[in-house]
Amino acid sequence: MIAGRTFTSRLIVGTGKYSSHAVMAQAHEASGADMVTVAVRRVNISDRSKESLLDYIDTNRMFILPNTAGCYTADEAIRTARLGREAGLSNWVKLEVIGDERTLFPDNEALIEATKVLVKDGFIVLPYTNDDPIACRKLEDAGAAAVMPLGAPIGSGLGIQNVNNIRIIREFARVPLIVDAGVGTASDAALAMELGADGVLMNTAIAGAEKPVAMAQAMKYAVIAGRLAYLAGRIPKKMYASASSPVEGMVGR
Amino acid sequence: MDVRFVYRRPNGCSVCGPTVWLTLTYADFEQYADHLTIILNGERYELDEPISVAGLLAKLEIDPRRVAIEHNLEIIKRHTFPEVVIGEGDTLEIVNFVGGG
Repeated sequence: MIAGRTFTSRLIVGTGKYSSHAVMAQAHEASGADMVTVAVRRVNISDRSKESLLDYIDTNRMFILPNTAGCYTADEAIRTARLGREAGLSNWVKLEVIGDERTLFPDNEALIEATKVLVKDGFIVLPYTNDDPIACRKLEDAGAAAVMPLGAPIGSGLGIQNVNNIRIIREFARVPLIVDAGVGTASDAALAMELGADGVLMNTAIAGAEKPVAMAQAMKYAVIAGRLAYLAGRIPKKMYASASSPVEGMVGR
Repeated sequence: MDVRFVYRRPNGCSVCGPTVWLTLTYADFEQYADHLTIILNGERYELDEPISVAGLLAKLEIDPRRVAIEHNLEIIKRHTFPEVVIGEGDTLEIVNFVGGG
């Protein structure tokens, strides 16, 4: 649950980089997600033949979360968020303020500033940030409805790079924690959930897989499995063995 | 490509002063043309006459329910599309949702 709204799935997926809208729709179905992210861009005035993304998303079942991808300043992000609200069906936004083109790491300073402005303007803000527990705390204080630290750079598929930091963020966070970015395969998503994340957001891991629909299904189960494992209370890690079968009653001893 | 018109003022004389060469482009004549130019999604766009936002969307075959519009840097509400009129020199941004992460 985020900002009073309940979602049935803890997996949030993107709509970018798919080979076709049809494949995207199938992958969404297989993932079981009920929230998807979209980007806000100029309409192609000259080429009207392209199919509309929204033709392939059932907005009765799927919650649309506009993002501010590609924004490098707080002002750009605020402007894009407002356009997204106007074009869409809600006042929710996945807030991104990018600090560097190659790594796509967030500019936390501008992000926190933009969060404050948008929260004041009535937005439900889900900020994409990095694995810095202090930045996450500041975003919470600024009114963010959730915090979304990256596992690794967007689209990198490297998996959770700083496991301990995600665990610490989980410990400190008073709002939902969603690991967003860097997931590569199912075990990465499961790990995020085992660390206590409330959800995982991914795009490239599914869209870029050889078989996106199959990967979407894998991710669905990974997120469920990881969450169950987290709630089940795992065994502690030991440096040496601890036999599982009894030592007494061995024949020939 | 801008065509340049070259105007030469009358030969130097004691009344008019020295010969002057002026270079004019289409932009200088725009105020006399009976069409208007706006900036639409970052590009110059010509209109025959002022038109409402709703009218322009219809002309471009864009569904008004799926877009957000900025008119001169101000986001305008959907119910005002038929009333807001686009004039000479205006800037318009028409955005929609596309795939993204």
